Amino acid sequence: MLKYILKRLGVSLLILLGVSVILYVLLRCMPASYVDQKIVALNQSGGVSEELIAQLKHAYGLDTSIIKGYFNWLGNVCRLDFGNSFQNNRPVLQEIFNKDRIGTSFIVAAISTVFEFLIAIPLGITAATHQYSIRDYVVTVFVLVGISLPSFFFGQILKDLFANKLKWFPVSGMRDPNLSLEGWDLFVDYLRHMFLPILTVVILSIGSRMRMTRTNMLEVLNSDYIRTARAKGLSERKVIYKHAFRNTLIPLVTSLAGLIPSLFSGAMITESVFDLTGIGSYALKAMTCGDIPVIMTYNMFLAFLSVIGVLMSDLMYGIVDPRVKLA
Amino acid sequence: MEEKKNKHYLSGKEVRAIAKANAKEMRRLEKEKNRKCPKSEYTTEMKDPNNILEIEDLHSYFFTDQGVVKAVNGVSFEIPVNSTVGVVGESGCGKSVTSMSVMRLLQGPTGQIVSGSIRFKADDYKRDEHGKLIPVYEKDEKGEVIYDDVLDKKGNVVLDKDGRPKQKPRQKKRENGIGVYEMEERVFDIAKMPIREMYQLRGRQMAMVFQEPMTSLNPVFTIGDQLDEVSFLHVPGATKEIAKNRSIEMLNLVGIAMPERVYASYPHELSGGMRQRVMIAMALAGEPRLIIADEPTTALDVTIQAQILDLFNDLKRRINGSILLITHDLGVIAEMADYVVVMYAGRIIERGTASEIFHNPLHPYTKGLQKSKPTMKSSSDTLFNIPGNVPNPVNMPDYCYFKERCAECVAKCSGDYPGMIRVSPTHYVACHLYEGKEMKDE
Repeated sequence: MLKYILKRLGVSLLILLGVSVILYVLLRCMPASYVDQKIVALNQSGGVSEELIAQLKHAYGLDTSIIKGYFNWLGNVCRLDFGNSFQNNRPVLQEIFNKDRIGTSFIVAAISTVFEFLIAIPLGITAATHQYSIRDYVVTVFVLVGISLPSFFFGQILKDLFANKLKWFPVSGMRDPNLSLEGWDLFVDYLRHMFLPILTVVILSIGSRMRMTRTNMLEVLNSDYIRTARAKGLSERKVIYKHAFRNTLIPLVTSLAGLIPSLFSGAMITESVFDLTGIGSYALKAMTCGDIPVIMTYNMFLAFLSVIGVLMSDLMYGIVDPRVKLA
Repeated sequence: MEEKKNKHYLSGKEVRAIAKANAKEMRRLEKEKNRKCPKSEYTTEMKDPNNILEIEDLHSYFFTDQGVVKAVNGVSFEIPVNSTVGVVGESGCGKSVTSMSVMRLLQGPTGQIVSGSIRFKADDYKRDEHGKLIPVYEKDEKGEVIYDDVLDKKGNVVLDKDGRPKQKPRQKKRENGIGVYEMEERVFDIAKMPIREMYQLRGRQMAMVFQEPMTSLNPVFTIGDQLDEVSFLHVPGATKEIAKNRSIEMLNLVGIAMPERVYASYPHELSGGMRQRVMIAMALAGEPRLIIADEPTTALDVTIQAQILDLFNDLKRRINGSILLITHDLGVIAEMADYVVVMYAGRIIERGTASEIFHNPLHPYTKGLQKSKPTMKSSSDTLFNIPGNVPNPVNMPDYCYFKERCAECVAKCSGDYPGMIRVSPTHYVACHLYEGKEMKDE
């Protein structure tokens, strides 16, 4: 087992290298680099000399060829130097792994994932066990509406309804700037601010997981071994929650692979709608202004998590399905 | 009318009408299945006390979008105690649906028992007024109940308030350590039972061996887990240890060489024959009085087939039970069955003792079935086959279903569906050819 994990980690390293090459080349090929944008801005306020342009390019390391630039970046990363953000010249690691940035995104994602599972799986099971009943139709329609709504639209509707009209929750932001709260009150205020974004994410993401649970459950419920379990004299409850559910878990576990990076990737649009300082909106901003160190670090971090996620889901697969042997 | 016959598709209007009618009927039947009712509503009497199962005029339908499929359409037969009844017929004739109906395992809401009765003589635990089981106590020669001292965990005698050793009556136990309780015989009409009550019968009173050993075991639990479950459900007061001992005893019984190892393995680690043995062990663990074997040997090769059949014969003697054997293999029936039921398109066309059916087949279909069986003696290169196919199950004709394929058709065959004609005390046939040849009751 240990050998298997080590082997997989070794392969992962190669994958990450490949990802970094592609990422770097793409970023360098972007039509307007950070320096280009800066020059445009400077041009409006007066002429810019060729000399200054060359200086700027040199300062940001954009005057080298792509290949040389990549190896420079790689060399620095090997020395654990991820560079400074172009925008404010602060170390990238500090910028990204910040309580307000990735912390906020993680809390939103983690809480909504928990609720997503808690709601979607039971819904999927009831829909499957009562196939073609009123209950099934109601759940399916509700969930499909959730899948179909775009997050910027649904987020705005929730905001308008609960924050602007009913005033149950604050409109946006992370905390109330007019009050200086401490301890428990601060926490409650924080939760109040987080409620609507979390609700948006949960409602929008329940759909796919519920559909998946329902499909898997239906497939399992029609299988021969469920008939055997019924023939033994087990109650329907036991048949569903013991025999069928264990088998439905198998495909659910594979979906774990995508779950780990999504916990840290942030919800770009939802965060923008509610003015949260999450990593999603920050990465979007870095992307538009061509902040190479930030984007590289952020995306490599996600790539690393994806690789770990896939490994974890493979390991979990071996646990929930005795037919799978890892070697 | 002529036009309609050739139509192979349904218009949207017809489909909607069918779906609406089906939905209504299915809802009614599902409600009935989940209703709560007193035991008296489905307790009846057997017509003949020597039978363990009596099926009378059973109708099991599937409500599909193409129309109602009458998979079982008025089937009646009985299984005498301690005998094997074989049901034969080609694929799709309703054999499996009949057996599933007995277990109430038809996949709802589309599959439903619509009418008829299935009377089953159950040997259930007797319960006192609190719903508890009544243990049988051991008695000495004088007929007095034997009392034992109550021991605590360390093996010391527990004393009551007065300082006398506490005593309790000694429950009678079988060799395998399972306590004996008082039993009573009860006759249930399975077709009218709420599905919740069926949990008591399934596995304990009647058990089923399915035709697909490869997929009939849950892949994520060990054989041991799945076998123990039956003991936990049906042996009162079963502990982990009792269940395990019993499971291993069952695995031994079905001739598995290394029961301890099989006990700990997962289904995918076993061969098809082993899995079928495990299935049989599982069916036996609850000590049922009736085993329903739905094509138990179809998926197995011939050598294993013979072993499994021997096993069934051996078990029938040992547990003193009855077997309902469903198969399309006449050879298997000849070897195993005491009585044979021949089904065609959801109805019984002939039934009788095994020797009657094999030595004196009456219905043209039964004769055809026997002729189409390959034998060593025949010198011809081609096998006989019955021309044509089973009629479309959705729109069954109202005359004899076999008319179009029958070689001995007479004018009367275009008339009503023939009734059951009794030609000997045990031999019945549904064919116009034998009208007037009924056995007279003196």
